[in-house]
Amino acid sequence: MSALDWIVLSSFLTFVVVYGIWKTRGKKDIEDYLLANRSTPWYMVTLSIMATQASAITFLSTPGQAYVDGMRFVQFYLGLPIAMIILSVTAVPLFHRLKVYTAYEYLEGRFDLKNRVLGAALFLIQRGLAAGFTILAPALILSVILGWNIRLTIFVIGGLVTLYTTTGGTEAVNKTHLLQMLIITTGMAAALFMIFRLLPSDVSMLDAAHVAGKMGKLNAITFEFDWRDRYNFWTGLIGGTFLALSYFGTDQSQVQRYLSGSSVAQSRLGLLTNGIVKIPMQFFILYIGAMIFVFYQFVAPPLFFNPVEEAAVKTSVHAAEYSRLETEYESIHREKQLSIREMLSANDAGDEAMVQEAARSVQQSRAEELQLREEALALMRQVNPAADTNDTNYIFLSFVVTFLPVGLIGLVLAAILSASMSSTSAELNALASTTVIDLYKRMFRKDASKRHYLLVSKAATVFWGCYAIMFALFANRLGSLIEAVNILGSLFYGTILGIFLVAFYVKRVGGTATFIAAIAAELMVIACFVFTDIPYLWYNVIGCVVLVLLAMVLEAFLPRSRVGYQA
Amino acid sequence: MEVELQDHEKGADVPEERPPLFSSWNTWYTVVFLNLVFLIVLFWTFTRVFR
Repeated sequence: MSALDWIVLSSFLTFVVVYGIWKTRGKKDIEDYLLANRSTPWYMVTLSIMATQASAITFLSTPGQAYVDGMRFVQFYLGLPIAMIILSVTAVPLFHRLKVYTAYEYLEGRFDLKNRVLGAALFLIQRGLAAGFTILAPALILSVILGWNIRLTIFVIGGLVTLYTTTGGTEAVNKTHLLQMLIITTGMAAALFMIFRLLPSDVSMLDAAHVAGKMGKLNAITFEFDWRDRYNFWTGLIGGTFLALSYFGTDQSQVQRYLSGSSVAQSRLGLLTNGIVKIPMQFFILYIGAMIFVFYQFVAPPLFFNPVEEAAVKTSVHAAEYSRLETEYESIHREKQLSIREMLSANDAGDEAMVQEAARSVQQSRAEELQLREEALALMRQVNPAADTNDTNYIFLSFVVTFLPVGLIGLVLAAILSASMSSTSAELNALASTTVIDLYKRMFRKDASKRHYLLVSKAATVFWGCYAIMFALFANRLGSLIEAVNILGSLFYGTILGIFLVAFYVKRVGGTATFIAAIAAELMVIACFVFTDIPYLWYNVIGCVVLVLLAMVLEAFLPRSRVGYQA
Repeated sequence: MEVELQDHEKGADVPEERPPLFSSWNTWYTVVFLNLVFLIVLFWTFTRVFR
């Protein structure tokens, strides 16, 4: 990386951290610290919600996902707008009216203490691990592609985030989110612009879309229902709605964002705007991945995008065999490029039969390429049985550092680190709130001073920052990161959502029935994960439906629990 | 859309604010839903045109 890239990167990061600390200095009490005095306008709520959800994983892994699997991952987000509407009608006015600090506070009023603690505990387990993922993901990828020291990267990212989140609380998180979203949007737009500039001069943007489409990368919508298919219209709409309802309605890292809204209207508007702009944003990021795929149809890509694993096989006894595979791969790539050009010429001439014939030839070459890649992966496994043979996460960054001009590399890296910090800060902020409000204040010190709770909140933020850093230091291989994070969330979200759905809508069911049903539902989801190959988006539906039905059945056999809000 | 309140849901009074741009929140919800429908149709067309 050049000096200019380092200057761009460090300037952005320093400015964000200093701005966050400076603008939010002098927090005096816990409401100010945890909810920014409930004074945030709607557009800040929207940006904060988006910045919290879009971590570095989104920007590193999503383009790679489109490169490998096409744009169908966008269907994952189809349920999100529906969830935004449902939450705006139900959860937003309710949480504002009750003046709660956390979503789990409501559960004690509706059910009892054990349900509140269960909800908070599921959140702390899941989100504590996810915070570690959020720091680890960019550090791992940057260390592989740029040779950065992974431990140092984890310490720098985790340390900076913990610093400004501890100092400024929720307001610092919201204010830095504004800057971070600005950097992220600029960085990604610049990356797409450069991809189009780097395409051969005779290949237009429309030609690029035709190539991507003929090679199956612009498959944004698939209506065919297949139970085993991870991403189609139905899993996205049904599973996605459940996942988004749970994530935005019960995950404190998101609930805290809209609880800081200055009124019901501002919080609602923040959520609804997110429902309008989130899907186009994901479409845009996936489109970048599809266009990188097209770029690599005209410039030979490496056989494998992870340079560390590739170097291992190149220095092993299988080096000659790997080299032979590389030569064959380049030869097939050249043939494929000719077929692609024939396809584009036929398309320009309007000769549909010729287009189809050339497309078949392109697909044939692509299949041969994938076969060679499989052979290369088998070699890697022979050299190291524990080798990470999934290179999805490395595709985008590998492209950035190899082909983008000096200065722009620093900007894209700043965008990626900003995304990591924006998500982590919201997570630490929410983990601290839940620890202090739902556990410490409720169970250990009920009547301490505001200053005392402020200090404990800051200590909790530091604790969770250290926890996330420690997790990131000890975890390493993760597969496709964007999927790993969503699978982790889906293991818990169905159960948490089920608890809240019973709380909101099944008024006759009490706390004990809900608690037992929640434990059973969680065990069932874990069993599905371990023993079946059901796609993970369905875990959200299974956990939630099992919990609601079981709670209703159990209620018939159990004595009625106490009901009445006491926050 | 009005939600019936239970005892444990009756907290502090929160003044109902008029939504910006439109006369009611129901219009806002309709706009978000129609935007989703529009995007689905757009993506479906996009998929068919470039396949």
